[in-house]
Amino acid sequence: MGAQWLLDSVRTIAAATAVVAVAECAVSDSASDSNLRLVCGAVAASSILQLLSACIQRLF
Amino acid sequence: MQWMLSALSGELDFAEWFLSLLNQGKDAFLQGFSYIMAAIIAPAAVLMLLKFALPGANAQKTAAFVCRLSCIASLTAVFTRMQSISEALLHEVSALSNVLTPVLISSAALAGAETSAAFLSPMTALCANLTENMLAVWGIAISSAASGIAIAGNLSSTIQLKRLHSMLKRILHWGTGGLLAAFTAILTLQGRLGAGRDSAATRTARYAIENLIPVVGGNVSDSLDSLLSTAQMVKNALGASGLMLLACVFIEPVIKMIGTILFVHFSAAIIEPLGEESLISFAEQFADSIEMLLITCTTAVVLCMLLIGSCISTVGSSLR
Repeated sequence: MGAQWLLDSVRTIAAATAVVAVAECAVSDSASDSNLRLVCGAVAASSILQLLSACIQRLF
Repeated sequence: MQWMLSALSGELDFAEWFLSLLNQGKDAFLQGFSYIMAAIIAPAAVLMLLKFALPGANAQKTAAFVCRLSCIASLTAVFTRMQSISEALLHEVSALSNVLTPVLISSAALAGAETSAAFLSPMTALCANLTENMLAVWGIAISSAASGIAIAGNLSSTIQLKRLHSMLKRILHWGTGGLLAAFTAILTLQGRLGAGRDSAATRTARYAIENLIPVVGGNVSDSLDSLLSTAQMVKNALGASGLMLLACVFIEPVIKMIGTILFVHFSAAIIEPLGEESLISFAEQFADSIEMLLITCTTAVVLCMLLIGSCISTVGSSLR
């Protein structure tokens, strides 16, 4: 299937957010919460960046 | 499809068929409605109760996560079913187009529209290619990706992916809109060019028959119009049957998809006063993903309809 890479990229993003969601349940204080938010945001953003770079590689 | 065959053979009892259709529709409606309501409203209600019952922040977060997972699992099953329905519909539309258009194009050529028929032949291949390689692969994949992003963006309360979902939705909207516009433009242009050449060819043939065949040339030339009109009637009947078949294939999946979208929106409206934003957001994005599947299927059907309509109008224009 030609669009498999797109679904693989989405799976990567979903896996990152699933890990984040599980970790979120374990964090209690506000400092850890904000740190987690920072790390999670970075992980999700890098996954989206990977998706876009994969898209550009295949288009051009 | 079975009722269509019965109707064509004249064996259909319309009142009985209509009542059975209503009953089937009512059962499917109630079943789908109760399933989706349970999938969205029940987790929201349980979550609201747990927020009062559970004391700690962590316990509340865990309860929210479990409720979100439950909602996501139920709606993902619905999306998977809608996706398989869409894939089956696209396959049927493609198969119908492959079977019907060669017959229509041959009939157009027999009715005197040889140039238009020659123009339309590559359009058949283009339509099948667009349906099988663009819509069935990319349309479904982008819709599935949007569904995946809806899930990923609502698993956690800290990570939101609404804009990525919105971007995928816009890509599909622009892509299908551009595809339809381009296909319509090519069909219209070829139709105009072909009609002019066919009309000139028919007039030339009539002139040649009148002047080159002695004594009966005029009579033969007059009968040419009758001959072409008869071929046109046969062609139009074939085209109308094709459009009806296409409608029969299309109507059931579309009703299912529209019903599901409405149910999900209705459930989101019900849980809005409960205040669980992530579930509302997921339900709306999920409904958007099914809408993307619907747009993909509708585009394939409209492409096929445009092609069949073009075949019908091509025959009509050759007799001007």
